Amino acid sequence: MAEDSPLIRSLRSALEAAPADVPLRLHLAALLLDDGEFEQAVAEIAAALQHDPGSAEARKLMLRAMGAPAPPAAPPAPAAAPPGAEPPPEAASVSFDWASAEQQLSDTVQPRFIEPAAADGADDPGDEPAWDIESSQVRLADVGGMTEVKQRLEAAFLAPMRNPELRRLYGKSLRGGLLLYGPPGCGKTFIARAVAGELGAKFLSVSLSDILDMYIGQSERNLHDVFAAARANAPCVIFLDEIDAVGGKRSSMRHNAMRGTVNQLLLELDGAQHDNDGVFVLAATNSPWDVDTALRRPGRLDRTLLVLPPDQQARESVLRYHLRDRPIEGVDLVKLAKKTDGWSGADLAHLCETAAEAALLDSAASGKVRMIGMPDLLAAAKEVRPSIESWFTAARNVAMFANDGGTYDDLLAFLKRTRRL
Amino acid sequence: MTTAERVTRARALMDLGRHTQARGLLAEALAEQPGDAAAWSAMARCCYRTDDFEEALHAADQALAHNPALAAAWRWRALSLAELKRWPEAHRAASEAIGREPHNWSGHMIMARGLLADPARGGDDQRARDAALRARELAPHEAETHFYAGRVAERAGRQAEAEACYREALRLNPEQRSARNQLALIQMRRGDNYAAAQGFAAVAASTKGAELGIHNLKVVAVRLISKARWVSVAALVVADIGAVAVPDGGWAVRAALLAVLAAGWAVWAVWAARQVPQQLRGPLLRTVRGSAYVLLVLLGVAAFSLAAFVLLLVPALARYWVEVVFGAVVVQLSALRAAAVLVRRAKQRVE
Repeated sequence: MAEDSPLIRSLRSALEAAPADVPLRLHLAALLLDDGEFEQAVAEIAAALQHDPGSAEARKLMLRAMGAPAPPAAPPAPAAAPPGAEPPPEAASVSFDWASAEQQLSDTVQPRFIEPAAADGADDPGDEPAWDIESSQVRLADVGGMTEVKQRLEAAFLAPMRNPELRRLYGKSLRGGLLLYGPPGCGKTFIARAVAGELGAKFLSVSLSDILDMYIGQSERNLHDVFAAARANAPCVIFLDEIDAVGGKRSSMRHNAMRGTVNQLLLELDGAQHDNDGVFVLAATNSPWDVDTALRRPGRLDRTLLVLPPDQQARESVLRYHLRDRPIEGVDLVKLAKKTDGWSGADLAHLCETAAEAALLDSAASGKVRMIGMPDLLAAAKEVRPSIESWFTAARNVAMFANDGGTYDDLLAFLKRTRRL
Repeated sequence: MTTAERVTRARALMDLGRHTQARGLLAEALAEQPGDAAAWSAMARCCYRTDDFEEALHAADQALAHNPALAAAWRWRALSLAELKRWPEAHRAASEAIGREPHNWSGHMIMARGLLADPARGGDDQRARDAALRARELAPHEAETHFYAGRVAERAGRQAEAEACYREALRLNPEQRSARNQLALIQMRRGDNYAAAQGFAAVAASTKGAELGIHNLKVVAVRLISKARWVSVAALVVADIGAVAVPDGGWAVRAALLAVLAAGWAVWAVWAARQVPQQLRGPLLRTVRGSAYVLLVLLGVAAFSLAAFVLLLVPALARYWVEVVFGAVVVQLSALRAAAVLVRRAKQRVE
């Protein structure tokens, strides 16, 4: 233990005289945290919580103490190291792209609007795209586990796209779309990003909030701008999240102006007025049965891929990621992954949160810091209910009674294999 | 974003089925403007669409407290009260909505809907009919108005008219689950099991209609199974004649009779399979496999056939053929009685 600074020594003396002074104790804890003395800080916070269990400041500090052992100023690791660069220690042992996985599993999509570029008519849209277009560094190898999904993706989409000679030989144009579907929280966005990386294409992610506009005609214009930006940056992957909203069944839309958006989407996909070569459209949905059938016709989103809950290997990866910065001991990831068969990535994140919360509250109550162990995680596994069963219930009925043309054959096979049918 | 913009955006989100996001936006709008009746009315719609009828009623009441002339809020109040089975209040709210906007079709449609669903007004067909026809007159391009016109016609026993209404509703909106279900029921009643099974399967594949569709598919299965009762009775008669005519041995005769019984069931199986579209045969079998009442009906129907097989396979029982027949009757009645109880329970759950 490093020697205390004079300020800390004087605070300790003051606290000996007034042990019930919670603000003073929290101030000391904050200084200890700044000095990297996490154990001492947690002990002080726990003592403060004993005096004032409802203190929001104390809880905040406790979260900081237990959740962020690494120095806060350390920059995040890049998604993929440049060739020849020395990989960070963790990346050397695990090739999974944790940063991207976190982004995917938390279901956050960054807003894509910058500013209305042509609002005053002065900007040239060709100079600066109005959408955030990324260069995806993620590869399918970065996707932990999910071997079956990767194999099907390779066979159904990537192999034809990557072989221009064969494509030319067979007269296949460099265009087309793929619809990813499956239960929520299972990595569809991350896979889309990896597909962009595999194709060496730029990545443009679009969600409903980016398109939807309350003014009539503006949603269509937003959609047109997305495709225009993608064409200008070809090869480019457009990822349409929640396609069931942007491209829902027009027959179900009674009053809204979104019918026009679906028509616009069809127009853009067909590329009747523009050349779509080099523009790949990936779409994701939890409910493919709500997607307008016209979008599924050949030349549009004509290929589908079922993205299932993570397999054993993927679950181990996800659990390892969510526990990586937490104080843990004796965690048997293999056993835990076996216990969580059929859970989504989001469910696994919730499991780790619940276990950490239990250990934190226990530490706060006892005044003694303890690590997160297998009992915490197993107890959390009993407490947390996997969220995707309701999806399978709905999907089961659709797969059984509306499997026209074998659209849901993959899903039916999975349901049979997992005895859900 | 202003309150009005939030409400407009929330409405667009509701149209897209994004009710959770819409509710969040409306909560923000109401936090800014707690007296905004339009926002409360939109909130009532949002809650109603997510089956939160108590909250929908509360929101509609809030909207009306700030603007009693808001017809939309009266409509959501009427719909919520109907879902809560508070029929007289629901009818009054629908009347208020019609009084404020007599040319709005949805008020009349909600009135018709409430009157048709109210068990205490089962005979009040004329008022329901007037409301439904007025709604259709005002909005002939709305599928729902044709659906309720069909319901009124069906209640009055005019099946052909009802069928035409349901077909028109489905032409206008192929996703109209209720019209598809009612049309399939009419088809089933007139013996068109093939079309009925297709219709019920479409209902079962819809997000909210799964339970209803699956229940009705089981009813189709029960109807098909019940047709086998004649095969079963014939089997027992043949077996009894065989048992009496050839009481001691005669295996060749017994084998021939067994073959006839098996052929009878095979004919039934082929006929039943052809009553169901090919792509639905597997799913239907899977659906009925775990259904207690379908299996009980099957047992009841097959009881005579089982007795017949026993009589033919065990010659020693030939002299007890009366007792075997009696046992078969007991099994059949018990199984069918138990199945009826289960069907009633399942129907209540679906409704």
